[in-house]
Amino acid sequence: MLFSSLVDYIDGILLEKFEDRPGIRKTCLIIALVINISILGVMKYADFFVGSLNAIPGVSIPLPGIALPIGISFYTFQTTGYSIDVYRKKVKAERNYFRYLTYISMFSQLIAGPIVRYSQVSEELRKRDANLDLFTKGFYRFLIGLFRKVLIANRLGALWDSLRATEGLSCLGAWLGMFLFTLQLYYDFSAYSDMAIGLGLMMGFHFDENFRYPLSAQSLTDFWRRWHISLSGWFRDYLYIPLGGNRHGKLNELRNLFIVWLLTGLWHGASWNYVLWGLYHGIFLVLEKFVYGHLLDKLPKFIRHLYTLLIVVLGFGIFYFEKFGELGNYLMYAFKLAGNRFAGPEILWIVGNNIPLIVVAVILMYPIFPKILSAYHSLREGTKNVWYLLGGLAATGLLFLCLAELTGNSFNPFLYFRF
Amino acid sequence: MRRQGEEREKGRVKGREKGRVKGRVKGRVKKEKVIKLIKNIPIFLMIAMLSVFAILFVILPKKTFSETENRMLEQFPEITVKDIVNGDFQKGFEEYLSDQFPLRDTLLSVSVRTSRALGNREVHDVIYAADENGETRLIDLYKKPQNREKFTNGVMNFSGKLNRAKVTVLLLPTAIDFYREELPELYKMQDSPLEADTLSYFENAFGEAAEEGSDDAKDGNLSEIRYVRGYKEAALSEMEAGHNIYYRTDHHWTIYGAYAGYKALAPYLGIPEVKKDASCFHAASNDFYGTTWSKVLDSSVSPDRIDIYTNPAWAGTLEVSYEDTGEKADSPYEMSYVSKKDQYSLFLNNQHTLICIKNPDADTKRCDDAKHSSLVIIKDSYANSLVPLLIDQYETIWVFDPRYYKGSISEWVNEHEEVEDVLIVYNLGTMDEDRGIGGIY
Repeated sequence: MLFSSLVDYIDGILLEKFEDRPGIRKTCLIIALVINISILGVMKYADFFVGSLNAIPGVSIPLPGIALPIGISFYTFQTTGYSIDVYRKKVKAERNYFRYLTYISMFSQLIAGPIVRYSQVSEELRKRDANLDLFTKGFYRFLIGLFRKVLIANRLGALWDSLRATEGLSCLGAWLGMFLFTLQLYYDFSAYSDMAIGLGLMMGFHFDENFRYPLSAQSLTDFWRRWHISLSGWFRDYLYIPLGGNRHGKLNELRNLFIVWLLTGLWHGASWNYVLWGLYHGIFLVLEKFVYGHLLDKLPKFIRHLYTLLIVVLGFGIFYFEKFGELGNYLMYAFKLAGNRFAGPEILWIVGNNIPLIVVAVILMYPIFPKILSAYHSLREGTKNVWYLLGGLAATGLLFLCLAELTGNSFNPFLYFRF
Repeated sequence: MRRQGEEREKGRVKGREKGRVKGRVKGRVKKEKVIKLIKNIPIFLMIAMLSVFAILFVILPKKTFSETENRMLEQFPEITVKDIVNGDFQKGFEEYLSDQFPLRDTLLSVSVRTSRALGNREVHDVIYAADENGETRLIDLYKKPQNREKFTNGVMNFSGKLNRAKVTVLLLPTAIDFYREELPELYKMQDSPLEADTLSYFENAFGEAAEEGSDDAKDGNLSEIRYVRGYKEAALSEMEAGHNIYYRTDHHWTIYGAYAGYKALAPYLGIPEVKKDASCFHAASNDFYGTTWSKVLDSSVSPDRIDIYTNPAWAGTLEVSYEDTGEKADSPYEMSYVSKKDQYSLFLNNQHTLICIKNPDADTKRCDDAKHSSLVIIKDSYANSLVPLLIDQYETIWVFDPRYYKGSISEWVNEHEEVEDVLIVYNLGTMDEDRGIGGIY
């Protein structure tokens, strides 16, 4: 990380120094990009490529087996984005290496995003106010993330595990499983963003939202405007548009979309199922854009939402299984091809035991919280204070429950470390 | 003059008002500060709570052993460059943190109680059932063992190495299928008698081996393996007689479950099926909380009773030697465990590599008139409650714990020609965690 940020730091300065020599600037940028991408490529994808090559008969290369540094996908994208921004003269190069390093290694978002752009924080890196109001705001934001992770995501994960282990899973049970995994992934991942944004606020940084209720989307296009916004934004600005975007005819646009979604898939993990997942989304997005998008708009909201959920849930089914054999098996159950029943009692056992959890998780998929907040803001000052205090006390109770939950389940793997 | 005075008066009033307004503003600022302070009380509370835990973590002495969980707790991991690079240190540190976390037991039970209050009937792989008196019965979820082939092959190889002694295998199901009626309605609807599947797997595997064995036995390659059937029937009849065959808070069987095991064994070992004296069963403890309970630490569950079997005829003649520690006793029970958490350990004094039990007054008469006076038992902790029931029928019983016995048990048996029977006793619930299976050779 030190090395990779140093490369882009120097690169940024060089880019500015040779302001009027486009040739040198281009070379500088290309060098930086090549270095960044090859570091990511070797660290994250070496095993994957070698493993894939080994699948060809007669090829047998030992796996390099490099340990993945934490957050490599996130900081590589940040440094790369920075270099491109300096090249495009969108931001001024950072002269102070330590300040630059602070930007790259800000611990709050290092592990699981969001991908913060330099332009967002360049001002605040120099001068920011960290005051008590911001601190408390950030603290509560952090707690919301913690609750979502510990009280919702972890518990949903346990349900998904136990459904997967069910022998003779029914068709509906398999779909319930994928749905619970989708919920888990959403709460897990967006919880990290909540915590990162919260920690940022506590220190006086303002990061952009990374999730805007993606599971309430009305179409897949809508979903991607709401899910992991900083990643799709990155791909749009630094890959899709430089490739030509939609400006050079449909064929080029299709090619560009294909590349973007292939890489989006691959970014999530060095395994073929992620590639498949990226292409799966790419295909549906293309279909929405060119084939049935206008038809979709005419359908009732509810149907559009259901359509989106179905595609997203099945997509995360693909996302989960790194081995195609296991994925195939599971999908056989989901499409009732394994001689299994349509509905089985395992659904009642799982749901019946966890009604409050599932109800809360489903309700919070939708933008309820902003509505509560705006209702709160329209209250009189005095009533507002009472609710603020009550909310805080509730948070205190929930924090205690979180501690209990974390100690109770010593087993607590973090889902998003693979990126 | 008058006018001047009026104006002066006016000025004075103005000044006074100014002061009052100033005071009011000051008051309001003060009030706002107080409100802000009150508003942020929860934040102070939370920070205080976290700090208390952090301070407790630092100052509390670190424990090495957890009585409630009956296991060693993680200690601060060694710091080496290698461990840091491959992540072992970080993992070790996480485990250390969670194992040594202050008020761990209290927090665990808070989390379990919340789960229960939200309507969950399964917590940490424990199902809450209710027996006919409405008392809670905690039942461990049964998970299909991954070691089935390993166990079968191990036992067959072992049996093949024996010169003379014959192997009898007794495999014991856990409580879950016996107490199906007591399980929550929603769980009962799942028709997955997984454990019955596993049992029939073993029945088939060892049944075939017995046939093969009879062929090979002619060539002297394999000795016959006797696979014990009939435990289920015996256990059901014990249940009908009103006995609790499994503990409500522990994964082990009770002495009555063990008695059912004894009855199932009887025709295979040629021992009498019914114990003469039922009055030999009596209570040893009334406040036993077992390992299943330790997973949930739920104080709303009432404690178990431990009954034991003792024969008055043992007095003065029985000799129990724990070969690994050199201890000797005149009873298979170590009653000092009753005052500890881990009360099940009163059976055969917890874990020992090798135990020798001598009963000179044993009734060694067998149906086939042959003399079977020595028995070797290879077992897990289930057998600890079974052994006392076998004492009356054998002059010598050798009890091996293959987890700790370093060496070949088959060689040992071949060296001791007086041993005619080897009994292998395992339960299905812990087969995967049992490192002893690899020790049978």
